[in-house]
Amino acid sequence: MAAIEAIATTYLESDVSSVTFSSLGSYEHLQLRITTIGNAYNALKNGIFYLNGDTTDSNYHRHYMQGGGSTTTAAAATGSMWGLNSKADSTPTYGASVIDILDYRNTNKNTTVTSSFGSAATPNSYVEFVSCLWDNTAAITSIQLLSQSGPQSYNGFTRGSSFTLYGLNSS
Amino acid sequence: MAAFTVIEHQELGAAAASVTFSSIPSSYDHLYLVISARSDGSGTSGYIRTQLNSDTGSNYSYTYLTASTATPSSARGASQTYLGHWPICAGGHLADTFGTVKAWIPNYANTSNYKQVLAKSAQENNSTSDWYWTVRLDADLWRSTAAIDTIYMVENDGDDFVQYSTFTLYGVKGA
Repeated sequence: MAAIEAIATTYLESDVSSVTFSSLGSYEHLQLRITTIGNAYNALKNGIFYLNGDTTDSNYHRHYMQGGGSTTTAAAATGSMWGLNSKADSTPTYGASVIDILDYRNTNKNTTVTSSFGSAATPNSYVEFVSCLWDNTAAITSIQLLSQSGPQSYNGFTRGSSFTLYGLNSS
Repeated sequence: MAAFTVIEHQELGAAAASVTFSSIPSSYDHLYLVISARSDGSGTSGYIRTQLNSDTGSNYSYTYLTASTATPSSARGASQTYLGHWPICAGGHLADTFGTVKAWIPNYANTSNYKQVLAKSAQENNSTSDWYWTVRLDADLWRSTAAIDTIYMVENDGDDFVQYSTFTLYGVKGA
């Protein structure tokens, strides 16, 4: 048995409102590798995720640090988060994210999700490392991904975006 | 041929002071270590100290970028007796929440070069208060040309890793 297996790939032939993975298999850990542009035209380059259909943002918590050339920042807030490019970027560059979900079937643990993102698209190039917590010990059975265009305002992804979900075995 | 192979996986059935991967074969190109762990210590200062090949000398150094407040910071340590602290959750963090570490050890069996470790780690929490959470990127160095055959991980303050903490070591091969 391979240590890492591709569970599913979603490649967008047209714009969509969200992407959902609902057959997650029986692995130790999950990893998502994503290249995408969000549908929003603003400079807010955040994606969000919902697990098991829980769309209550207050059940998610995020902590992150970012660097954008001459500036660095960090923050803690409610809600989930991962990085992506938006249509506000002057060049059609697909931002690259790697999202790790450890021990996603372990019902003794709240779910933790970390992600790394980088994009050199102008004018909003930056790199970031994000840690998220879903305050729930349920085994993860579905992952919904969206882009964010503002507070409580969510969009999908543009044509050409791709999302691949991998499972990491432990034996 | 599979690119990734599970060398060993440990899930703690009870609290333990340390975790060791030994007899690591030299037949891979790189190692990838994935940890989901929590300390039973009080407060928010859970960290993993790591030593390689049982070397307890001052042969390690680290450089890291970290944030536990709105202002990221960076530091460097030389002549250390362990690889850089990797933050994990402890008793002061939300119950049932485990810190995460992903560490990449390239060319671990190459006997010509010192060994580098690149790690991403986090203390997840439901708090937005300063110092109740941490995100961190580490570049660690072991100044030895020996092939790595043992990885020893211990909680920084002498506390235990709690039950259900997991440690998975993968061997990674090129084509």
